[in-house]
Amino acid sequence: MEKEVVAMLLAGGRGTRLGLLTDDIAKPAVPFGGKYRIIDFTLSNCANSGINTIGVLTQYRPMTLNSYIGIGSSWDLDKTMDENGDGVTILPPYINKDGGQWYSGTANSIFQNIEYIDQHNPKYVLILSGDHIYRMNYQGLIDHHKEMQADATISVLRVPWEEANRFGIMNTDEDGKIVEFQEKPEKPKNNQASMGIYVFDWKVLREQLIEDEKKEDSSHDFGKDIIPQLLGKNKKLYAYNFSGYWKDVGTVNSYWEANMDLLSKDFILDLFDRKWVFRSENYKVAPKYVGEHAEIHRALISDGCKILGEVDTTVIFPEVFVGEQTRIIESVIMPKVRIGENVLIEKTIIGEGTIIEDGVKLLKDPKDEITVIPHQSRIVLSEDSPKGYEIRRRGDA
Amino acid sequence: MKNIMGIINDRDRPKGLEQLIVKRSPGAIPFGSKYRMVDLILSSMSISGIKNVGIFTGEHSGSLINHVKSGKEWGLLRNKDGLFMLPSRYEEHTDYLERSKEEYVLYSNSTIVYFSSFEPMEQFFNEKEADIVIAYGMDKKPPLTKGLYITLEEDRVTGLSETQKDAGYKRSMEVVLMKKEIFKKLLENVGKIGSNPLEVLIDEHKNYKIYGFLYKGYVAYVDNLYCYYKENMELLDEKLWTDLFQGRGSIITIRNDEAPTKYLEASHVKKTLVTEGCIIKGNIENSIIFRGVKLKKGASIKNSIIMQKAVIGRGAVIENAILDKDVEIKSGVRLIGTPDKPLFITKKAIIEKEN
Repeated sequence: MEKEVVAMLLAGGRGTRLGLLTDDIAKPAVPFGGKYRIIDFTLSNCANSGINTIGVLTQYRPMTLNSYIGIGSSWDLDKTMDENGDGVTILPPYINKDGGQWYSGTANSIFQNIEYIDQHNPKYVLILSGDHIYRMNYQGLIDHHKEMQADATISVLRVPWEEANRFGIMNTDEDGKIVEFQEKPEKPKNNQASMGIYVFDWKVLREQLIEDEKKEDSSHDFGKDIIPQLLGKNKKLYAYNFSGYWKDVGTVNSYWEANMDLLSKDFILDLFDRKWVFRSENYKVAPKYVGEHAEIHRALISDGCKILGEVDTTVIFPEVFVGEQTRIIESVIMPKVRIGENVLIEKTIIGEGTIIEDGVKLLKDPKDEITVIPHQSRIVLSEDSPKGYEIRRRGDA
Repeated sequence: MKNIMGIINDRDRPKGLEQLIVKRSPGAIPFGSKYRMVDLILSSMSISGIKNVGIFTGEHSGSLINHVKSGKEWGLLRNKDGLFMLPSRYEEHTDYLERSKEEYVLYSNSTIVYFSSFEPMEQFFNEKEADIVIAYGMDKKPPLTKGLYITLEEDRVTGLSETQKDAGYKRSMEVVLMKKEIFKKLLENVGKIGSNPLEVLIDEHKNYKIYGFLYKGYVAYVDNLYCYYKENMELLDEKLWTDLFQGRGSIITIRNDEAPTKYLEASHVKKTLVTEGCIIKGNIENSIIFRGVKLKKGASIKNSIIMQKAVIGRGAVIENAILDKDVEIKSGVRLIGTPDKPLFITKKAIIEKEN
């Protein structure tokens, strides 16, 4: 059946720069913002934009992500929800009679799923990434694409000039037509950065994917290969200006910052807007208990928690216990973490299910770096260690 | 517990709860920061593995039906069995009982506060080879309003009454496990003998082998506004929070997809139950806060129950009060009740400061 738009959500990356947080799970499945996982933002944007056919490309450590997304019902993206849509389909690499291979790049992952897209015969394909935090109505992007009669439209954002060299920069003419693309330029000509969100005419993209696949020197990447190739062919590529909060949470620093951003007073990405709800897994947990001696300032805290100590400038996920006389500052505490009494935690990201025993002091790193404690750790006091504590894997003796 | 079906009665409209049930049924009364009363019994049934539940709906049942919806959260959105709404006359629903394959019925009203699996009660039922088992709690001083009272000789129930006839009568939880055939007979006689199944049972109890089952966990009766206030406040006991909410399974309610609650710089929150979707800039002490409550700077709440989506303006002071849903309290307003007589503010009220 013909559909106007099929979205392809790239969620296969490991996210190496998130270090210990992605040892066990893919980056899009990393908990974020007190109750969400990173991918919730993109899936919620899809649902709220009326995009109802979505292929999710997974590869690295997909178990958590696959079971988390399930049939998409958390976001009302179950295929029975919309008679015109096909809901969410998880697309891992697969083998057919000619063999098979891992996804070798963002473009290659779409190439390997041409059949899935053809089956829906869409006019447009929307390429999204599973590791950005933002709120966007994709319909605006698609409308712009149609209006300009473009072959491809790239969503761009003005970034601070000093950061422009970290992005793919689009140089455009007065009409917003892209005339030049510079990937991470040393001397950027402007500050319009690609957000990694594209809409293509499916026919144009399909042809280019097949051509690119044959090129031995290609890394099969949208930014590095497909976009320059299309520009080289004089295809009509337009920029679509996005203004609003957008953050790639690909590094420990940006992940931590994005969590801290949520704590500011009038933060522009409004999690409380009932007209654009960011949906997530439904935690079936009790209301949060705040104790008699608790102190909470600048915090985002979910249900199922028991807070008896002091929490300042911190994001806390469901089912976290914070003991008496404990103090937590500038930190991110993932689900099911148990923190004992008399504990001090400064500028630390604590992985899911970790246990921190009474008296442990996780002091701020002397170089002001963010400390990361892996999921399922146990932190115990230790006189032998210079830091006074030792991190063990939970379950180990 | 594949052989037991659940029946919840949401028809009784206690006089004492009048203010809370103006436009809702008793089961739909908000409770404990994120729940509705009916969530407790539905969750107990759910953790007991009951897959077939019927609800006798009464006046203003829309509130209950909109809350429970398909029953999905309690595992009741199923191709086989699931959730059934039973409106209109009791006697009309004997067909539903006949159609159901289960041989036993677990009957409860929609406002009893407790959370537990029914497995021990079923075991007791089997040991006694009973026709009927009625659960009663440990509470020595339950409110003595209309209910189901029992007298016991050993475990055997020898007398049943709607009121406490004499000191020998204990208040039961109105949680009754019985053979389906017996429940069917009770239903058939509604209108002839009593006005609901329990009234029929009171009249007919001599015909059956009835036992009393002592439930040792937390039980509370909510049949007037004061009890409602008191029982909510009880939840602020840390031990009870742990017992009630951190035991086997958890109390389930529908999903609301609210953001985590946000605390700003100036917030002070102590001894309070808070759920999600709130933005807190003021002070809260000893209170129960439902979802989506916005508390402005300098506002303060003490010993109160604040239901969904209230907006409390700057510098407002609220003590010993119950605010129903969607209430707006403008800046500077003072609402002070007493612990014995909490102030009640009706749904959607807007309260401004008098000049």
